[in-house]
Amino acid sequence: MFLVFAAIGGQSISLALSKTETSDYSYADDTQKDRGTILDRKGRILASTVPINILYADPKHIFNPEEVAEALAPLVPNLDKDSLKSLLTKKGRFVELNRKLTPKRHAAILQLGLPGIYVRPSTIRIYPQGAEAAHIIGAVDRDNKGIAGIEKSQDEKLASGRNVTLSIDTGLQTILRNALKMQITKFEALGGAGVILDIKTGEVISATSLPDFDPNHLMMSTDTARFNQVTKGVYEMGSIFKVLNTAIALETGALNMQDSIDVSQPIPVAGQLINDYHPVKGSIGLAEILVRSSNIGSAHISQKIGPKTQKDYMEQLGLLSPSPLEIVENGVPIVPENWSNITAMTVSYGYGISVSMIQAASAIAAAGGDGYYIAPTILKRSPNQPIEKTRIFSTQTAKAVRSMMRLVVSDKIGTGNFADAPGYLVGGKTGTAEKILNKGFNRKANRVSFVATFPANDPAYLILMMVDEPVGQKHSYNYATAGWVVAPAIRDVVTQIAPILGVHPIDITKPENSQNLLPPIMLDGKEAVYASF
Amino acid sequence: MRFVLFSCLIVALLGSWLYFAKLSVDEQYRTLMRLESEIKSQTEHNYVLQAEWAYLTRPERLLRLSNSLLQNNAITPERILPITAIPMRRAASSPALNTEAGVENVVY
Repeated sequence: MFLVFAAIGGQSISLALSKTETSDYSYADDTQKDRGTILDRKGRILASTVPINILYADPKHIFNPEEVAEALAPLVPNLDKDSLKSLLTKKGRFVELNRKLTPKRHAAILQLGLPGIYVRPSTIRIYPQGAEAAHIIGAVDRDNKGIAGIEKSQDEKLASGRNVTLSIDTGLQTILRNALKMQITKFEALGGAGVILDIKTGEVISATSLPDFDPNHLMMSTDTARFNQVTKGVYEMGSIFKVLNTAIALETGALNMQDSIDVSQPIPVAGQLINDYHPVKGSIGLAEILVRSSNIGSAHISQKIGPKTQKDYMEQLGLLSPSPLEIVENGVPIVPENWSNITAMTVSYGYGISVSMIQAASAIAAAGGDGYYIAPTILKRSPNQPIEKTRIFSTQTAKAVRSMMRLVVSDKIGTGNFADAPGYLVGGKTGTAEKILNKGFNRKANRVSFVATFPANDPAYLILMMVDEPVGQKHSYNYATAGWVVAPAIRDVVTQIAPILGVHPIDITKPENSQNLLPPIMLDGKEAVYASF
Repeated sequence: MRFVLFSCLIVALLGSWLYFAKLSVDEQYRTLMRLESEIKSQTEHNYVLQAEWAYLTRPERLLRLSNSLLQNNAITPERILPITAIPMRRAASSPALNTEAGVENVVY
């Protein structure tokens, strides 16, 4: 009796303690998380990770490669029977045959029941928006490790499964990209770039560089297409720098709005002449120098500012060191070694110093906005996040600069009339810079740009667009200047994005709007108007 | 002897209870594994659907479709007015006005 009970008890305990198939189960491995998603400011997916099936072969388990290759060939895209056979006879235990197996093909291959042919689940990074914002998003390698753009700079965060929300708005990105693309085609240009900046927050709302690439097919893109002209390329910006020159002159008191300068004589500098595109006889005021984009006038202004002061301001505006943008492709500005009087003259109209477009945009946002410098960011700011602002220009200086920028567009003598989007009070400045060729400048190869702020009475957004080597056309009377090439694109972009951004048409005749601009200024002997003509 | 027999019986009962408890835990474990696998599969499926949705609703495609199918154009500034431009409804108690007076009373 005792023995029977002892045997039953012992067996029960033994069974209870024995290992079963479930004892080896463990919870899903949480340490290997899927890479986080990259979203735009409105929550649209820019980059995501989706599951895929990798078809592979273990040649050691394949006894008849010929037969297997013949059976597989109709189901594996891009590989014919012969190439499959050579893969199946390779040395080693893992030969990848296809990375993006569709569920239908996967099922068909399983049904074949071929020995040595296996399917392994994996993940792949996909970019649903294709080439839109490709330079900003970047790409990953085959192991899903970031190799460019945000994918690289935020690699740690993304790899740990957390999402990254960018300040980019894909909708605006499309509008900017389309407008730029159209001008590049119209003027047979090499390429171009554009950026939209939120002046109040420093957020980059849109940034595009053309030609671009589809990150889903990175290997098919060229080096030129992968180059980010907005953040990585550094260029002599040309006359858009005159906005900074004017702002510094007013801020330092080197000149005031009533002062005038004789611009009738070209200035000889180091064997060259500083000339004007549209020469003017006699003296003109500060506003007219900017509106007419006078190089001679700007060079004279720079001499009143002085090279040291000019350099100090350039430093405060973040133009002498790489931009702090959260992206790895940040260009290093090319800055003159000795900041002499001649340097100050050339810098005043955007030569002799090369900066990235994003740097130029942030600096001009300070001068043409509220006077604050805000470091640009590509990551979306949360509503209550404090914004670090550095006051560079007084409210009075900023008011004068944005008034003059408006006149560049609204006054008939201005160089940017085609940028006028009626109702939105676009202010701006044209810039045409000759490209460097064999230690000199190539007069026939220009990089034309336009910087715009809107609405001029209380600038909320800045747009900077650049077109590389446009060719004059019949429809532009053979002109290929910024006013002809980029200004119309600015108008198109503003007209389309303003309603999306909640910028309402402004009636400049209303005192609450006009009080944010200077009282009417005399230009070309007449009272200039801010309203669209 | 009776105590030993009783102890053996208790051990046998406890052992049986432990065995059934273990079977029950194993079953629960299997259910948990199945649920986790389902959640993972559904999550992955969700990722695919979200990516497909993002691809189909990309602004570039919507813009192209709206241009070709709806002939939509960007809204012009003349068509955007402030909310105050909408005429206010007259209070029910206010006396009826003739057309001219009514126009004068519209609040802009």
